[in-house]
Amino acid sequence: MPAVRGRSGIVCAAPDVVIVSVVIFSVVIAVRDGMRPWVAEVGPGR
Amino acid sequence: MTSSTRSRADAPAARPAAPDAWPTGRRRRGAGPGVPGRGADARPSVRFRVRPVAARAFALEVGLVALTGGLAWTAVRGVDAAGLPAARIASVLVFAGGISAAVMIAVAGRASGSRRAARIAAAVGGAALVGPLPVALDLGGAAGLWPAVAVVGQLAVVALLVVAVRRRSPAHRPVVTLAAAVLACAAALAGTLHGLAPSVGLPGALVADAALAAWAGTGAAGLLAVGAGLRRDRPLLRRVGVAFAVLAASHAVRASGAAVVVPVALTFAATAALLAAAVPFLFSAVRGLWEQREAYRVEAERLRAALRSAGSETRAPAVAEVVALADAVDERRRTTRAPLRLVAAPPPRGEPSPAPEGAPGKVSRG
Repeated sequence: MPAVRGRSGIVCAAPDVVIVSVVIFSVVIAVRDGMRPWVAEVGPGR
Repeated sequence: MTSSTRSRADAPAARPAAPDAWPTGRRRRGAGPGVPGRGADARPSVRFRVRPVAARAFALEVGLVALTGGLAWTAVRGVDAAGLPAARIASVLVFAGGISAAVMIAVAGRASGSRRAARIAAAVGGAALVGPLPVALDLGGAAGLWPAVAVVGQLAVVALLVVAVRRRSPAHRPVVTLAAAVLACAAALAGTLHGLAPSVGLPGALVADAALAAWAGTGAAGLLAVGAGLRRDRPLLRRVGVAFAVLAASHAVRASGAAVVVPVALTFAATAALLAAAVPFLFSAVRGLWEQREAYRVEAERLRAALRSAGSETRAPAVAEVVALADAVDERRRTTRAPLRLVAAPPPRGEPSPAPEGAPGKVSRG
């Protein structure tokens, strides 16, 4: 994906990387918070 | 006008100094018949077409990485059950593997003149520096800004990987130097702050979330590298992308608080993927150099034979010089480019050629 220039003039060189990383970040956060009660119950492992 | 530009575009895009048969270490960008996805018409389109060879190789690589992960999981579980510090041992091994992979990719990239390989090597080396090295040195509970330095290094790795994947990145962009400078500045800042005020630091939750974001970026860059490597059939990009995606997955598993065995096994699998990218790349670069040398040798032989057949009894000084240069090429000296330019150079204008009619001209045309 080519670079994108926003209305404020900020250039994003790799918008695809930003989009995919935001998706991964949200998924990891959701999984982590979803696993928290389970981990608290079972134990955090070693 | 259209026809003239068309014919120029259809001409083979070889370097002017090298005939077509010579390996130049780069793939031709021209319209190759029978190669889908690399033709002149397919370049501007964004369709995702994968050659079956690349798809099969990718499936094999993913299977091998999964197998390595499984084996490493069994081994790490045994080591962990024996009461040894599995994470620290693994980080030492992963650091060694990552640095050696980075060195191999850098050497091969230098040998083949590949800018992308140099950037990938810098990314791999940076990831080995900021990832397993602090664990190997047991700096886990480091205070101050040191965790933030790791985040900065991770972001530099992401930037290097993205720039390496980009198809047209300018050569003059000093990405590697810039990333190294940023990392050095961050380390110097953290060290200074640690010396001046050891108790000052960032809140742990903030640093953990920032590290998670940086690792998410690493995973995204790895996945995009996998996609680019699949589309362009580049094993180096593909395997390094798989390695970074698996590394990011290992960090995600670690962040989710599961047992320590799974992320360690995933890091082992990622290191295996890195080595599987680096070792064949190094070997192919060495083979490319060898093929190039052989091509030069054959060319020198042909040139000398042509000169001999042109008539050895009336050998002009220029012809003798060319013969000496061909001998020098055959001796594998470092004048590999000189005879080509000398042979191709026209005689000085206005002066009659010192050689008998036809001899140097014939030779220069091959």
